[in-house]
Amino acid sequence: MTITHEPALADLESIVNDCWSTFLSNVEPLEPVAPSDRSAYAWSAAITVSGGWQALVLMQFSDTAAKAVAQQMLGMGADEEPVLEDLNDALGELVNVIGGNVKSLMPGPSQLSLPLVAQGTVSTSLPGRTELVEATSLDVRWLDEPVRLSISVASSDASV
Amino acid sequence: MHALIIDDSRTMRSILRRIVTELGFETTEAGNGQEALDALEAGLVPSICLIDWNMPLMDGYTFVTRVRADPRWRDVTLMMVTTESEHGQIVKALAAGAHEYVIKPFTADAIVDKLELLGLTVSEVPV
Repeated sequence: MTITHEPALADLESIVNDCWSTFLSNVEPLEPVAPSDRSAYAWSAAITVSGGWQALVLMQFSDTAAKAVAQQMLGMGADEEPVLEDLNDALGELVNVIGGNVKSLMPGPSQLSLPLVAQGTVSTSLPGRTELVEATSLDVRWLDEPVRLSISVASSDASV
Repeated sequence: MHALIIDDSRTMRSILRRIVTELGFETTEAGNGQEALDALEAGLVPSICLIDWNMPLMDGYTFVTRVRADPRWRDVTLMMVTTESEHGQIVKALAAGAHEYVIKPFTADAIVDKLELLGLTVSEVPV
């Protein structure tokens, strides 16, 4: 029997493309690209999954990408500048939906936390666990801006 | 027709508001189940409630059970709109009295289809 502790890359691509096509009016599928430098990411949004499967789902965005997510999800005009509250809410909801869909692929039952959004790096951890390792990641470019989705699991659960 | 949109995310409330407003619904928004119950207690009579599951203060499942336990609101249609997609959760919500269940992300067409299934026809909506 094979026990899988992280979702397949193809599943992440499918989830991200579903979200982008429904909430962000994206027509062309987003294609995986090489990872960008860490400094390219100005915003992070994270949600944890606990229960039958434990993981941290983290999304990272450039400043331009984050603002475009907020503008489009909130139905703002192109000339409207999203404020901090807009970014927190929109990026939090996006990682909530993506995290929920990732959770549905994994052993359960599991629960989602409320999302956390931060400028720069978000600081969070799994209950009772101290060490997380990145198990799967997907780097894409949207509006020619970098966006990254990564799934981290407790080091004891990570595939070797 | 009137839709009560219950979600702790302002973004999701905005997305749903744009969809149902296009269909001719008036809308009221609540950030959690307790706010929504307060709106009903205050006399709001929605045709439908669009309900997220995970919310602070009172979650969507509790809201459904509270509404279904009160005969004053027996005619209100309840539709879960949530990221909770585990089979057990869907069964639990429907057993508690939700009429329909939509998993995020959803298209506008998916919402329209569900409203038509529920008899909340969009054909009467003025263009």
